Amino acid sequence: MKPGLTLVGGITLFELVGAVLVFIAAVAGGKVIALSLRRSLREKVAAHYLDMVAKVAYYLVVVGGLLWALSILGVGLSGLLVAGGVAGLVVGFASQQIVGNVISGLFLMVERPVKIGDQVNIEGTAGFVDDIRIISTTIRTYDGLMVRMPNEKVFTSNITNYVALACRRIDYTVGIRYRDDAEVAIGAIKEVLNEHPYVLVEPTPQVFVESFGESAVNLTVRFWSPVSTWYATRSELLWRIKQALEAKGIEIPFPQRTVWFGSDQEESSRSQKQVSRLRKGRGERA
Amino acid sequence: MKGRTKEAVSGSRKGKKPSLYGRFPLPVELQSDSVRVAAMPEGEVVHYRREAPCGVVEKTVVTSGGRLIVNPVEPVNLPQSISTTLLLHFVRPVVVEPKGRVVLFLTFPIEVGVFIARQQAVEMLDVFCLLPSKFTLYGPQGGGRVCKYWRSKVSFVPPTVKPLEEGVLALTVTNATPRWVEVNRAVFHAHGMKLFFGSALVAMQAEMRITAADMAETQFVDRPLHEGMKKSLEVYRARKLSTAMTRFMMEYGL
Repeated sequence: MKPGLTLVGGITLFELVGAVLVFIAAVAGGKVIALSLRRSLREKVAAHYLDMVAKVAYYLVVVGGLLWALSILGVGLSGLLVAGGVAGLVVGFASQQIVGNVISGLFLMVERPVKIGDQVNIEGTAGFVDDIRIISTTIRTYDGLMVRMPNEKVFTSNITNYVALACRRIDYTVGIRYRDDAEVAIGAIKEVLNEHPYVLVEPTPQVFVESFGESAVNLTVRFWSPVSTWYATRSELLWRIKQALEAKGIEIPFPQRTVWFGSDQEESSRSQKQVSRLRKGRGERA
Repeated sequence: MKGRTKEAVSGSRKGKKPSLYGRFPLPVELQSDSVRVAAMPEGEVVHYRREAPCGVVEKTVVTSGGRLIVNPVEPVNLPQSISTTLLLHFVRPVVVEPKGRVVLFLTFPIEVGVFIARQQAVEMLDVFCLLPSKFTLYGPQGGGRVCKYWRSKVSFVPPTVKPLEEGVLALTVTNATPRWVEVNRAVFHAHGMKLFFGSALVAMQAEMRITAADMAETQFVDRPLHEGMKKSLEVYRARKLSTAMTRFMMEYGL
């Protein structure tokens, strides 16, 4: 007979209190260890790795404390495994989705298609990955909303990671008037690109005549920028290109269309004759 | 001038340009070409002001003593610290014979670091650069890395450069392969940079060991180019950042 007040299953009050205290101490200890890891490694380890290390340390201490607390209550590891097996079946059937989320969370941590701080688009939700927890992932959208997504959904969805690679391409289409010199425009745009620090030297920026539009000669401007400065560079350079073109006397034309009204038929035919004469003068075919 | 250091004053008197680099007790006022750095008392605190073509920076420093350290630092901090590697692109490629060894002199961009120090505690106060920055991608778009870019002439004697703008890198290239190898560029890990400075020269030494036609390993050598040069305070050490990676494996071509 055990000393002290005996509760259910032969567990004494002393053992129960001891187990609870051990578990609370483990949770508190885990938090202290995770916090001190974050403090000591903050400047030495990347934020996403540090977060994972802190979490793993925390859960290891908590699980260790839980096992210790259970052993105080007389629950052996072998018994726990058997019970766990049976309980696992029951829980598995009862909470398939939660287990799926936990397993997906583990795979997310191992495969690492996204990391904390990455800019991603998952199923139309775009923003920064704020946290990857054991069951869910939270995304902070660009307009400041917090979206919680189950890990299973994250893992099985198409993920666009905007910052997984070192650099990204920026494309502009710039229209100039038909009477402007395209080579001068290309030179002016290339000068702007060369002066900007975040327009990468390699891959080489490209500026070329893409097409003859209805109202403008369309130039394509293509260059690469580091992912961390991509958005700022994209926003900044378009206006600089416009300013550089204007400095060379090149204008970006408004869309324009010549419309002939039916009552102006005489005027129209006169104009058409003029156009034909001009074309003849230039040796073009009508 | 009140507070001006001995070095700056004596440099002016002799008619030669005073060096901005060195360790100076506060208060201090330094001027070199278009750059002026001053840390002058303002009541109970110190007013730090830097004027350069790239801009003006002012800070209030709370200290009852201390010293200002000005020296060249790893050129990967500006405009933003987005890369830790430096790529030097050779204006003219160098072809090295099998098992050959050659010492090349290249130039690299300088960033000037201003630190405030008190006893053993050092903190970076300011960093500036007099030349425009440029970046490039080394390697493929998937897997390559963004590097600070500099186009350098290749010479076989140390070139003359402005010590506030450019430094001299003595690069020993060793071709360990049994074939001819063309070298167009050298990529380095900034964490391992060992910068030394004198009154008129900033320099460092590095090695490149070519292990295949398109692969080489680079690292810096902790040795001054000339006797009497002083070692720069390294930003990564001052910030107590991890410096585990000091060698760079050039695996995407030379």
